[in-house]
Amino acid sequence: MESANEALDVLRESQDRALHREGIPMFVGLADERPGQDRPAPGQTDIDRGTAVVERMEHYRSALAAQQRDTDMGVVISVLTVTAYEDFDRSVS
Amino acid sequence: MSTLTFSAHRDLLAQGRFVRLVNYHNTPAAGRPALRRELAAYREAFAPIGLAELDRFYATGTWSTEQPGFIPVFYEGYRNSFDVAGPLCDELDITGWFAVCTGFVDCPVAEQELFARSHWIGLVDEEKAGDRIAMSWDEVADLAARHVVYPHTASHDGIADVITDEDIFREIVEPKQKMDAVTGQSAPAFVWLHGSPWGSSPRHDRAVVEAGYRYLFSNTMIHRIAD
Repeated sequence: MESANEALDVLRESQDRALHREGIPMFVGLADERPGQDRPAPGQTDIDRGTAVVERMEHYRSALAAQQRDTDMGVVISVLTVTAYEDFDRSVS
Repeated sequence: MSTLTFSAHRDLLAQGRFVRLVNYHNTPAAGRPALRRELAAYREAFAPIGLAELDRFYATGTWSTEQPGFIPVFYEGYRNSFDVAGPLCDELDITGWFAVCTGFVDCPVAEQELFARSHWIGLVDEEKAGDRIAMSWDEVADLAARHVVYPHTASHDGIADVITDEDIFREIVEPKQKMDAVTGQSAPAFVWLHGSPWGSSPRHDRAVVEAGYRYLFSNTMIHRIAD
């Protein structure tokens, strides 16, 4: 298990970049806001992939932001940013 | 309506309702080799998602490929999105998603640097020679033939900047009308400055739907808002 300091290092790495000219990896949820829409269930592969991402999200949430409120969208963005940064780096290396 | 919480995002991802996305802004010619390396690496690891594929996911809950998908988004409507990012996407068989500030495109060349500096559009040194730095409408149309092009307001405005009915027309409605006129398509998506999500303001949400958009891109979600 990484320490909070290690998690903070990855957060810094993900955000302390030239963001106006570098790619910013992100995970985005796919939400359906249409009223009365059936939402077809994704397949098990997508659920498994999502579960793996959530595990890393929870890791960064607990390491960096355990005391922060659930409704803080700034924190949500930071957690998704650091999780995606780590994921893309691992996925392409 | 989606709840704007950590829990709601966690739940969406745990249900498999998510996608990888990379946000780009300026893609200067000097950075072309690095951008090519990055996009090529993503292309190896992920499957590019186009509009039809995104529509398919909302209709069926499934993707057409085994590989995880990804969406590269190029913001603002820089000329170098057309000169650098677009050709790289073509070469690598990637669908690029180009979120364009239509007021930047409309701006006279002599005032484009001022426009950029006044509207949170970051510039690099190679864009300070007085040449055109925004896409032209012909370039918007050209990109739309192979990629997804959609408005990022006219003036790179956020919800808080759009107050009057006139503001709503200028920043939400007119950008789609102008874009559709040159592309011959219906721009499918809209995105605010700062990526404000659906649910931030009922009045602005209604205006986005009434303008004819089907998706709202936000910082942390893609919201399907109409059929």
